[in-house]
Amino acid sequence: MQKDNSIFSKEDEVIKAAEALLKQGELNGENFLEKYKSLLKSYKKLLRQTKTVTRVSDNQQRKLNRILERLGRYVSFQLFKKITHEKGKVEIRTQRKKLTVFFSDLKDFSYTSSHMEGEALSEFLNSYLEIMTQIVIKWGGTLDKYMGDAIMVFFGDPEFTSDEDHALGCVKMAVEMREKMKGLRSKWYGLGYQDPLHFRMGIATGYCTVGNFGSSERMDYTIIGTPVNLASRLETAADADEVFISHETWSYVKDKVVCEPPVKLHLKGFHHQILAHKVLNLRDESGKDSRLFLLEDEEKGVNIKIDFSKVSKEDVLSIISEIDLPPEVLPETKSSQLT
Amino acid sequence: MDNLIIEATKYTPEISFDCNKNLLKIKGKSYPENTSVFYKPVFDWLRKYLGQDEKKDVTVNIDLIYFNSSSSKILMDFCDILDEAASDGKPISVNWIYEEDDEDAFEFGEEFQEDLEFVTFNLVRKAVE
Repeated sequence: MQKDNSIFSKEDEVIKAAEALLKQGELNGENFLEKYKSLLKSYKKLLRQTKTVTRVSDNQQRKLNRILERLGRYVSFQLFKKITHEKGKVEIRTQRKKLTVFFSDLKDFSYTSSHMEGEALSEFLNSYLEIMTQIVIKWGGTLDKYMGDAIMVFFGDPEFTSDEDHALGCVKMAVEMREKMKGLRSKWYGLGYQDPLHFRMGIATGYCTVGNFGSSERMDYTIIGTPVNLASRLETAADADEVFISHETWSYVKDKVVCEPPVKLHLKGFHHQILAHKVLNLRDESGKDSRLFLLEDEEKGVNIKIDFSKVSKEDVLSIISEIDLPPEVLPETKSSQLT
Repeated sequence: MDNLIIEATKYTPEISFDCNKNLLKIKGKSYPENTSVFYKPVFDWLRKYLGQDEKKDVTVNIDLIYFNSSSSKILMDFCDILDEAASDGKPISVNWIYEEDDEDAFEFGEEFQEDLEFVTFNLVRKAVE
């Protein structure tokens, strides 16, 4: 913004006149006294105006901060940062980028919500969305939109690191959401909701068109493209609490994520079969499946695999205790690994 | 003399100075790219208008929903000119018009009111449009 000093042209003239008076050297007489009075009057006026302008400016800054704070609640953090920090005009503009896209929704929520009172439904939905949104933020996803109980998130824009980072971040986010849902189900049951809620998730990676869509009067920062449709269809195809990821997403995360063998799906809108992978859980730092207990001793004829994502340790101990064998046959050291 | 009519733009207010009705209106938003350039014809007209030897009641309506800092300086200079004319005997009323739910605009009006001695300054609340 160019400097605008000419709104102070009068004040500049007063200062110049005062300086000229001093240069004259004659500081006595009525003329000097009149000039001094005029200078003092102008100075008082300037001080008064400065105080007012400062107060007005401070008030406007506070108002701006309030508006920005409220605006920030209606758009994702990344988009808010883009709007407030980016220079240049906001216009309809898009670009192609490889993104990882995520969709989730609550299975059979339409049926469940039809049996809830309006206030209970709002409270329930908002608490669910609040918790899930915190997980989205934790993993750096860009929250695109809520559609009732459905959530759409994408990774890779506006901030980008690598395709691998974004694919893995998205899958880790989904796994954490699934873990969180277990706790939520217990909580909701305790609050009187007799039908346990489950959700489904779909993830796909690929080139999307991302940017401002709409008109010059009203635009939406969002994404379109095949991966968006694919993630949505994978989510629909998933069973309760399952995460389906596309083959491309799997290619980025296969060393860090344990999946079932792929399945071929016929999805609406796709003419060819789609290869999809069901996420089981994350591998630990050594690359092993952290939820699997494996015990293999060929010599002793032992081959045990326990998937703790499906069975609790209490159930396992209960099963073992029912085995009709003398205690000395049970390997104590191995059973202690289960505790 | 002729009336002064300047249409509003995205960044500048509507100026509607009617010397026959003695009604001066400033309405809209004020954050021009160059404040002094925009308001120069406004001040030129005002000085010429107030320089006429008439004692008719003058009403000034200021209805700004937003103005930047340099515009606030201009508004103070504008009100100073009005106050000086009022001190010479011209009956001048200034109506600071603000929307009823806009506390900031009300406070701005109070700031300007404090600086004026001879002008009749009114804070006028209007319903939200």
